[in-house]
Amino acid sequence: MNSLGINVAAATFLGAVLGYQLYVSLHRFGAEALIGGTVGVSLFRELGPVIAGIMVTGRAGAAMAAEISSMRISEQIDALEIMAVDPIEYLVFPRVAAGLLMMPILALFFTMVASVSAYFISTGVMGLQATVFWTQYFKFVTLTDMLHLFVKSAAFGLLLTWVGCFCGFRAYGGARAVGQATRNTVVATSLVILSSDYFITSLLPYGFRTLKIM
Amino acid sequence: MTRLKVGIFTLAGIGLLVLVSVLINNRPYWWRPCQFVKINVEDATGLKTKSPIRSLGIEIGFLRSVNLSETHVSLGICITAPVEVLPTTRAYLRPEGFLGDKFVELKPVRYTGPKPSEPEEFDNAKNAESKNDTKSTIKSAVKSATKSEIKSQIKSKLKGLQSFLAIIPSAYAEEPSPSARSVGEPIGSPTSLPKQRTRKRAEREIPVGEEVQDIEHLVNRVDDLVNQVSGLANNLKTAINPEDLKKTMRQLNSTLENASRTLAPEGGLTQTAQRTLAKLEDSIEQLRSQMTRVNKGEGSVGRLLNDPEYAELIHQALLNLNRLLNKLNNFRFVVDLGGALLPAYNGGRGWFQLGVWPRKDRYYLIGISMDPRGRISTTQVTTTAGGLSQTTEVQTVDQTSILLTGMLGKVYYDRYDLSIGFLYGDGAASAAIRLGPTGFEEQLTFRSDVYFRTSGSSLDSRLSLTFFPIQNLYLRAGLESLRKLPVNNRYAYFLSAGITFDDDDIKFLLSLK
Repeated sequence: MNSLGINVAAATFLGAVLGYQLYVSLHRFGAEALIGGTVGVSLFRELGPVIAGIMVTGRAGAAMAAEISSMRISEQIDALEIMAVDPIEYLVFPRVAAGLLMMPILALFFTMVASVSAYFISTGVMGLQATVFWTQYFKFVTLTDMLHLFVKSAAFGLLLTWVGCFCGFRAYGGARAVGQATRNTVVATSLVILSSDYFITSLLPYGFRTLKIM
Repeated sequence: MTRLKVGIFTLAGIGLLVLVSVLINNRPYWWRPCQFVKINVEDATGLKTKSPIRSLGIEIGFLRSVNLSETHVSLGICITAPVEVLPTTRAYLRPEGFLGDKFVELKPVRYTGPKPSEPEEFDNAKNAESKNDTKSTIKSAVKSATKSEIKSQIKSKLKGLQSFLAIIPSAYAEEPSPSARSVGEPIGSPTSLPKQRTRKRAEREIPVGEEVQDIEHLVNRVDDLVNQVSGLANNLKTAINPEDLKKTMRQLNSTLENASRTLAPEGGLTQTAQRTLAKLEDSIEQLRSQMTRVNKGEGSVGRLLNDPEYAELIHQALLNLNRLLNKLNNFRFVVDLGGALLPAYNGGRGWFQLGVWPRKDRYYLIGISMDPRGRISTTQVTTTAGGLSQTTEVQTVDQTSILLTGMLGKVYYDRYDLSIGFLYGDGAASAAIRLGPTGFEEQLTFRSDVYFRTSGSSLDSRLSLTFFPIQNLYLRAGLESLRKLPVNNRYAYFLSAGITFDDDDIKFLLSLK
């Protein structure tokens, strides 16, 4: 939840840039009216969960890794083990659950803020009609796109917390290990998010119902 | 505090999720039950699930399913708006946008939702009181007519629906419909009905032949058009006779050949043009030589252009000529031709006189006349007898000689005419007074001529009265002499008549000369 601020900031600028670039591109075909749908679909399907995941990775994933790695090097985890407390259950599970549950909401917030930002840029700066933007937006965005958003963001939340906790647990050495764990977390999580994005997208439905042969 | 924030964040997220889900759903009237209708089409290009279903531009549902069969595509339409599909409803596939999307339009459909609030009832009594409120009267008439119309329409439609509803189950039936039937299937007894209670919604197939009918109609129209064009071509063929056309073309061809021959270098047109050009060159050469002479001052034109004195002389001559002609234009010539009877002389007088009026009040009178008094001539006869001579004067009167008239006269105030000269061979002075009306003063003239004959007698006087009964014709009467004639001791009176006229021809001849 602490990542909300950074998410909103990133979403604002991303939506604005999206509005700009799409208008310029679609204007060549005289299809400025399709900005709303394009923004909605792209944010819901890809940009929302991915960028939100990367933002949260940089904020929460790195913090997670740093915390756990510092606990590791200060032997607090060993102390938990001595006290017969499962560190995984005590440290990892809550974080993973939080990531799994909160990440979709964060992604949704991100998407909506970016959509509104794109709307302001499209209508206020580029001169598109507001009605046209939102009409196309809700016309093209479907529940399938929302499914993409939630599934991906949940998966990304799971992945980033996993990787963060993993890198934190594997930290050995002194203070240097904390930095390494943090760095590794961010890098690895970003790559994992992008690669998993591809696989998840290929597995999710594209929005076309299969034909029934009667 | 953290837990509070997390809780608020979570709730807000869930609320946002619900809101977006509702908005993205894009299902019109989604809270209403779905009236499922099946449509079979032959081509579903551009249709996809969630394509809108519209009626007269208003979204009434969405396309729920698209199923392919061997020969057609079955579209499952979910109508969520409060409308009822009628037996006469037809489905049309219309394009939307420029990406090839299509939507399905159903019409006509009947709206079954709540009616909008009607305006207040019109009070007939109030209108009857206010006679000037014609608008209200018209409104009420229209309203009453509309209501009666609607009622009659509803009745007729209900009758039609009765038979239809017997076949088609109601879409809003709360209980599950017995089965999904297509239009046209007879209703059997309840026991014979297949117990298919899997579908809760009523399904109905709408024959979508409209598009096919549209195509057929289009094909028919194209056929008609082709027939018309064929007929036109045949008519043109009969109207345009190929033989005449060939003949015309041949004539045109020969005309063009002749024209080309004429216009060719060896053609007659060119020779004529060459001759004309040669003549033109000669003319130009002559003109050039003439202009050279003129420039040198040779010839009258040259002198005129080059000698200022010559030009001035000509100018003066022209001015004088102009003045003369103007004067001549003002001249008036009056011809007087008449005759008089002089019983005392046993004869008559005839005269021709020409009056020249250079001005309105002055005239010159010249003329000739034949007078019975004749011309008197005196002859001296000297007789010598025995050394004594005797001279005798003998006067002879030549009655056949021509006597001349020449008078100079002036008219004063258009009434008083004085003249002097010689009249009928006698020296005379005349005075006349014109008594005619203004503008025609000469109509009645009293004249007195004092004349002197060369007979050695004293002066004598002639009195006359002239009257113009009509223009140009006059009658004159008077006394030739105030003394009695010694021959027969009678007063010599005369009666005459004559004509006078202005002669422009004389003026013209004089001016020419």
